[in-house]
Amino acid sequence: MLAVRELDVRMGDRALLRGVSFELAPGEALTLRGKSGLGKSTLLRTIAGLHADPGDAVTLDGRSARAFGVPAWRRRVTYLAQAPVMLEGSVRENLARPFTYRSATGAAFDSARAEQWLAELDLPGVLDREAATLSGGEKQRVHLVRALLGGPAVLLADEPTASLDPEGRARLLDWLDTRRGEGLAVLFIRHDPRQGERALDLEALRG
Amino acid sequence: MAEGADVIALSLVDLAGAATLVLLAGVVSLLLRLGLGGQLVLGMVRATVQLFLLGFALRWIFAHVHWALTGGAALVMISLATRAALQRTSHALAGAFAGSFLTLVLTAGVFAILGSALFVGADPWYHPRYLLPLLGMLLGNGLTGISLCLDSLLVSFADDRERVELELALGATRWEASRDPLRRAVRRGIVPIVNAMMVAGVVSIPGMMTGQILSGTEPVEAVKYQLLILFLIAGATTLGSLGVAVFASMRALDEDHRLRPERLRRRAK
Repeated sequence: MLAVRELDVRMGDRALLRGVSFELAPGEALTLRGKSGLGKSTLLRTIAGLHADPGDAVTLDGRSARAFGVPAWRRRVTYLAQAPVMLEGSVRENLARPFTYRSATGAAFDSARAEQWLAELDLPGVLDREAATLSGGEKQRVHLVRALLGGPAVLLADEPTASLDPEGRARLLDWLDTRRGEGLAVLFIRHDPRQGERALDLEALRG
Repeated sequence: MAEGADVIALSLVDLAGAATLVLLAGVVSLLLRLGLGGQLVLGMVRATVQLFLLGFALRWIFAHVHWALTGGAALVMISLATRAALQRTSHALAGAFAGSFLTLVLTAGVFAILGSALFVGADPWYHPRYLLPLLGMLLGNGLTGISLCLDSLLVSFADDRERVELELALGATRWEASRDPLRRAVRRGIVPIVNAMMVAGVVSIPGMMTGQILSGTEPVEAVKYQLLILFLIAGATTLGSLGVAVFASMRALDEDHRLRPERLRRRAK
């Protein structure tokens, strides 16, 4: 369970959001709503500990980022940036990269699972392609698979379908629903929450 | 020219003659409207004043051999070199001076002491006649490499921020996230000294060796000194670049494995 309690989001001396609170159970999805420039991305980056230390205002199963150790926290609560940045090398090298970090604690890159997930996202046989040669939409899907292969508990997804056409968008969201069925919780920034999904309006919390 | 036993001493008239060659270049600049005449003259005047001041200061320091005096002069030289190295980069990094200064003390400073004490065999080991010129050569040449290295690293952190943050978001430590930029930066920093070693004696006769030969040193002896200097510069530049890059990474990415872009500022061109 990801719990956010009375979290303030700041940009330098300026408060963007005050007192953000919500809970996100395994398998749940929550969409953050609010005008652009409100601080939605900064909120996600704060939860991941990339923008500022979230302190005890954010916990996963009762433990803070500091208690996990920051790199280990980010493996459990993974931020998926809107821009699908590819590292040098092949798609395989991109997907395997997080398993070279110390925080992987011995977990090995599962090539078969990567291949299967990419195929499910309509990207079969791309593992050995140079990542830089992929199209924007292809990069976005590889970006998503790279974030999920390490098995995070929570995905902080910042506009994960921005580079996709409507068909690709629906396919990717269906695929994420399957991952949610396996216990993944997703905190979204996107403009079109699905029917029946929870949403949190941040306008009232503007700082 | 006035001839001594070994050294052919230059008179002020000799120097004035050489200076007219620069003035000639200034005239060409004027004729071609290159707009460089003023800079050439200013450069000539500055070099003359600075080098004579250095010469008189060294003459005084050489006449008063004391470890504190040599150490003080060395620390001033390292401070100035650190400042120059940090100012040559396209981005400024707040709080980088202390780490860079310490790195230069531990690389150029220690290498100059090693060169003076072990290889040249100066007695005492802190004799300013040996230690200070060696340190000057190491700092002067190392500075270029260290600046290039630091510039490459800071550009990566500033302009390639999304890539560094991607790795952090996926669970990388700050060292893992800065591994590639750091490797690229150190490689870039040592290219000039590697190139200098590659072409030494083939394309160019190095400046120090030329000076020694002109002042009467036997060429093979001058080669030995030049090689000593080149090897010390290569070692100090590589370790110095690495050290400065590690300190800069520690400032640009904090202990919470977070990139701190507010500590980086692009310099006005």
